[in-house]
Amino acid sequence: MDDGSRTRRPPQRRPLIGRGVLAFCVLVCLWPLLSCLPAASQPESGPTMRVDVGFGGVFVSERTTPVAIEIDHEGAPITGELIVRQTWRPLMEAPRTVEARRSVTLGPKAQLRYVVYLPLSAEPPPGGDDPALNVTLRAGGRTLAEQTVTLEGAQRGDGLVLMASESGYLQELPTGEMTIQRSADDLPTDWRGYGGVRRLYVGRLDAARLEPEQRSAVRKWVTSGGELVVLSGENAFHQDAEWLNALVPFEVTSVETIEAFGARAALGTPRGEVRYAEADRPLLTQWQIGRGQVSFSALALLNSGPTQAEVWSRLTPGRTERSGAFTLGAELFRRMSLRYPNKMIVGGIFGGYMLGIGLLMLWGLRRTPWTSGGRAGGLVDSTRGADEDSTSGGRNRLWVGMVLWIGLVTAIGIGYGGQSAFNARMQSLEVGVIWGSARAELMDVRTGFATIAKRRLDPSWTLPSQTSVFPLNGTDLRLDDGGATLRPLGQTLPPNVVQDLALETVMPLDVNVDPRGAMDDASEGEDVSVAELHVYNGSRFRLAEPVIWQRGAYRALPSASIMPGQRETIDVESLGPAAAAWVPSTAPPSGFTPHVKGTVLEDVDRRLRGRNAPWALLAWVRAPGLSVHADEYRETWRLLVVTP
Amino acid sequence: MAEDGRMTKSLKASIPRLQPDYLIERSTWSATIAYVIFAGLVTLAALPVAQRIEKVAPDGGGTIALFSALFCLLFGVLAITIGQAERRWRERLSWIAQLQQLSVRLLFALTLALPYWIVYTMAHVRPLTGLGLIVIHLWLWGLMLGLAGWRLALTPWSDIAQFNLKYAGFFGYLILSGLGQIIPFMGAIGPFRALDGLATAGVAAWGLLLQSGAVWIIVSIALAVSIRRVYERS
Repeated sequence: MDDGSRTRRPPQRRPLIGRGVLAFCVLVCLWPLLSCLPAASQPESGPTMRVDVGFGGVFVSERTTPVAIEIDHEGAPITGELIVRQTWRPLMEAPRTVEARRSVTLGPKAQLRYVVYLPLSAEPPPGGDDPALNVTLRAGGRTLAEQTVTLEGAQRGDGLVLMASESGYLQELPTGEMTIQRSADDLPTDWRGYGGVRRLYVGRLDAARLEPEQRSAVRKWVTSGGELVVLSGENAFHQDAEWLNALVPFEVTSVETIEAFGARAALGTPRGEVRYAEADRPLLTQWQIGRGQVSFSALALLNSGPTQAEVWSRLTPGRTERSGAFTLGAELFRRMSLRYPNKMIVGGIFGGYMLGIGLLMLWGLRRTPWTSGGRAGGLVDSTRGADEDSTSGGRNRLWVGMVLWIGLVTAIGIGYGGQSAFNARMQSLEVGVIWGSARAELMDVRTGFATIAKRRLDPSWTLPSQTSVFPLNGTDLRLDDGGATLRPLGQTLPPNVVQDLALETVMPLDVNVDPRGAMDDASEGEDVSVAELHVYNGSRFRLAEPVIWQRGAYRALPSASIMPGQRETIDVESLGPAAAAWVPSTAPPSGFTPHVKGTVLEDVDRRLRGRNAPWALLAWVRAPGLSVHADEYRETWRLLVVTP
Repeated sequence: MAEDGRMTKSLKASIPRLQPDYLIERSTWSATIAYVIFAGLVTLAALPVAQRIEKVAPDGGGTIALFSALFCLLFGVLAITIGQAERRWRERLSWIAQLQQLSVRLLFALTLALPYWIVYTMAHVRPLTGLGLIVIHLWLWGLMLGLAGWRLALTPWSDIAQFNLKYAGFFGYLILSGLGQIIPFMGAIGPFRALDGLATAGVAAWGLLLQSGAVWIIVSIALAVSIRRVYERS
């Protein structure tokens, strides 16, 4: 009987362990999604950039200018490229572009500072009113950050004047110069940072605080033509540092207050030319290092007075060695001819070839069995000739002769046409002046480099370290790898378009010149003659055709060259006159090579006379400064000049 | 007749195929010498001039196109002439041996111009790697024209008619292929575009060789079949 009651099944309950496992699995599956939520809820923050051009925005047009880019990044690590580019339109000329690229790697929460050195211009871009610089950070084909900086502080002219001092100083000097004040921390770490600076005053500066890179930068800049003015006196104790003491033409022994000057004066021994002295106390001493000049004022020149005014008047800036890029290479290159095989020579080779082939074929015709007696179709009704011929060695001689003749002419053609001058896809010229002095271990190297691609190609050149590059005449080359290489702006270098560059660098060349005799006790600028020069060529370059310049006259060395590692003692008095090639002439030298050498020498001769140098060692260094591309034919003429 | 046939057979058997002597014969030697001289002069004229850099203007290599065109013209005329001369060997060589002989003669003519091509390629700073492909390209071009000349020589038309047809047809073909600047297909069947490409870019331009080469091989096969039929009929 059914009592109507139903048996109720107890509800099945999942075991607790099973629920836990299920929940865990769901959590594991959702975890990646959940972990993304906080990030997705926040707006994506890309890297931010701050760009500082020159010295607080002030720079000199078309001189090497430091562009510092500070990047803040908080996201995922990035590897990309920093592109710094300026395009401007010079008056009545095609637009020009300078560009530098640098690889950047940004970790999470990165704050990095990159500095590139470019010759920026004060000219506006095409279609714009104000000069501007564009900085872009790109990664994976995307632009992560971009900033266009208006270059308001662009200056045209001779160069900036810096005052390196920890305390305040006059902004406008009695010389008429306007100064930009920098502390030790703000001084450049690369000599190219001083690219637009013509004069650096050192005031109350803790010279010992400077980093080795900062010291090296000052030394290199002076060698390359910079003017360093050390205002000593009461600043002497701050300035006391081994590196600066080696640069200045004065050895400070003490600092005393001199009532007559109304100030404290540095006392000691002058090592250079004394430009101003009062009461037998040298107050302004100068000497030249490389192309540059170092002045030492025994007074700090903080207060005014008649003595101070005399010193200031002698510090009034004149012509600077740093003005203008080395454009000689571009000028000379345009007068050069593209190197191609001589048509007369090739015509001679081809004429001989045709004659030989004609004679061989005539010989072959005379002997060919099937045609020798042929008429009206050239058929012969006998196999006799063929049988005879097939057994004779004449046929073989004909073909050996034919093959040899073709092979010989081909070999001659390859030998002549295969010269790198003809066969290289680029033709270049590198001319320059390597200028050093006996008292400096560094040399200033100025080079004009011009190239033309005969065929479209993608070259790259490695630059010496810390080289300033000045593109001339709208070059298609840009700086890459942090300024270490040159590459085409586009994918390739267009054919038959001249690319001009001027390069400046400072580097050790290890050519030591030690003057002996009258120079030992003479200061620079005095009318003395050097009796003996000890030259040691510690470089890896051959110094070709060395001569001694002395008071406008050139004297030839007995040896035709000074080889690497060679040491030579030159008795200057016994030297005879140099060859006519070494004497600058008003008549244009005939031939390209004499023209190049003559033009470079004239430039150097003018400078030597202008500096009133007592002597100089001159020699040609044929080794290139810029790396040579595998597909490049380059002529190199660099003149080494070593002055006291 | 039977004796004649036996004699011809024994004659053919006694002739070794592709004897080098056959490459130089009276009927084609003047054309070959003219080709050697004119090709040399064209090469010389097409060599770049060593002018001052300040006077150099950016160009696209116009002399390359001119040299290619003139060389194709000279070699084409020689190829047709050599092809026409094959008629005289009909009694002595099998048609396949004649075909081989034609091929070798054309290769020989190209070898004669090899020094020109090497000097030209080097003077224009072009890759020498393309020379092999250029030889293949010109050889295929010459083979087609040689077979056309051979087929033309087998027609019953008079010599003057053959002469007119030879040059009218050849120049007409060159003009048509020169129109390739306007009509892309015509450019592919002509010799200029591929030759320019191979001379300029070297082996990288092998695709152009395939295009024109395929057309020429097809035409050459058709001509060879036609020649064989004429031989079989006669």
